[in-house]
Amino acid sequence: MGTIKVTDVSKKYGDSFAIDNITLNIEENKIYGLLGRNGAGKTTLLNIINNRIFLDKGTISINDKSFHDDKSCLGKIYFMAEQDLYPQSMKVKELFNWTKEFYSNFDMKYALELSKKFELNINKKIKELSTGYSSICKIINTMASGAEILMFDEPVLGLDANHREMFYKELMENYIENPKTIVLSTHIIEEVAHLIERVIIIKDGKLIKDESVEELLEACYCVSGLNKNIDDYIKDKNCISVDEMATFKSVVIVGENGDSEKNEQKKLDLEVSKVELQKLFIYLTSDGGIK
Amino acid sequence: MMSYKLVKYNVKNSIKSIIIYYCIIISIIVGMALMNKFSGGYGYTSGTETSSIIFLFVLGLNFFKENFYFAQANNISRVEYFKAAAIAILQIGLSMAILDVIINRIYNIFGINPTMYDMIYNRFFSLDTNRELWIQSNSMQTLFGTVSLLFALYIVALAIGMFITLIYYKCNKIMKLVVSLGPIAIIAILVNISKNYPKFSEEAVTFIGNILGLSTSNAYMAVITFICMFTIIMSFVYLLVRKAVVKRD
Repeated sequence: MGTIKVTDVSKKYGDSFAIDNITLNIEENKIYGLLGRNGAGKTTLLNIINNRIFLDKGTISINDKSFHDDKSCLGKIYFMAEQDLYPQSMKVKELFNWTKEFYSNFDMKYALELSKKFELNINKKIKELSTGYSSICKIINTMASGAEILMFDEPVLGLDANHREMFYKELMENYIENPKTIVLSTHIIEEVAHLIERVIIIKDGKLIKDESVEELLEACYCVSGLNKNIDDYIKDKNCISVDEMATFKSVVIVGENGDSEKNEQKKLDLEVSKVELQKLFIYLTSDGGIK
Repeated sequence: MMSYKLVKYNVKNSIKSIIIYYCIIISIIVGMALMNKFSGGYGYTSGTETSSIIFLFVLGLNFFKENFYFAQANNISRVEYFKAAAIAILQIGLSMAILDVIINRIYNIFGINPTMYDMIYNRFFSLDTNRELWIQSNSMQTLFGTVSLLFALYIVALAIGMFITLIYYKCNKIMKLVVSLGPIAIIAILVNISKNYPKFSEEAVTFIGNILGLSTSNAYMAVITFICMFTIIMSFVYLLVRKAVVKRD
């Protein structure tokens, strides 16, 4: 197991909705990308799922059990929050020991192994860690927790490129060895695009997409070529993004890339490629996108 | 199940402060005992448990935030957190009550140090006038009474500390100001009442004397009163914890 059902969930702060009537199913053993612009409601949604803040309306169930029916169902999730919730005077190794108390499947060997790989000094106190190593400490604790569902809110905050790469690699290895449900909330879309299977996009507290990355990307394509040819090609098409460089243009088009389109592309000498998730995200969450 | 693990954490988290506190107390007591010995004087102290009450109140003030955040980091429900906090308070209160009685009995070998229980509920004469009349009793009744009274006092001190922290945690700036000024307003009202309605204040003093068993020299009345106070305070703590959320820094 490792499923989460969010039904008609809303959360208001004053007069504005932080989360507006969201319904979604997080399926077991899949990697989700939770995407949205700043203030879209990603952290609020994760906090609501983990009962760290209270919802105004709706229900949440984990493994088909609502929090009200079974208070222990939250123990199936380990949520790495962006905020520092660990006691600052606690040493990293003490943190691992305590997490083992609360998460019986915590893998101490794996935690120590990851600490070595990331060069995290486990004898240091939490308050002595830099921003990057604080994130690393939280990442290791989450990955070794042994929980059925892992949630990461901005996990790579303050991490350098090497450590980010190492995190993605370790996360994939961990997932392949022990499949589990993973939710990654991040702004660095291009880095996680190859990891995530499904994408949840939130805009102004509303859910605008909840589908597989493959399906989402298959619904559009990118063509590039000479300005004049591109202009001819996009005349009757739904073009969502245009990049211009000297005499060349590259555009993203929403719609099927069928035989007639392929013939036209050949005739106009255009090159076709896959759309980047980040480009699609920018379109979907910009003011011109879905409202 | 989870709450017992959290109890372990709560107690372990407080143990360092408790050890430091006892190191200081024992040093002071040893210093006084040595002074008595070398000066040839007849040292007298009393009610040293008051320092434990103050210490536990301060410990209570620091008992909420860090423990609550850590419980939240481990997805432990608020109800489990509350249970763990209540059990930890009882454990700390009982352990410190027993320790204080042991320290008191050892100290009494070298000097004179009656406990609050001895002074209020046992036959006790002022040492200035009847010094030789007070003899330390080590009967089971006295020991049990002393531990019970200290335990009840200690858990109330811890609970009040935690309750105040929670009020401050949950309130906005205006409410914090109101809560801070509250005790001053209450004192002003009480002074006013005692001046204008002397009969009422006399009755209030009698009532307090009765619920604390002062008039009947019954320590268990005070124990029951303090346990009731603890239960009421912890009920308010529960109401506040139930809706507490982690604040963004």
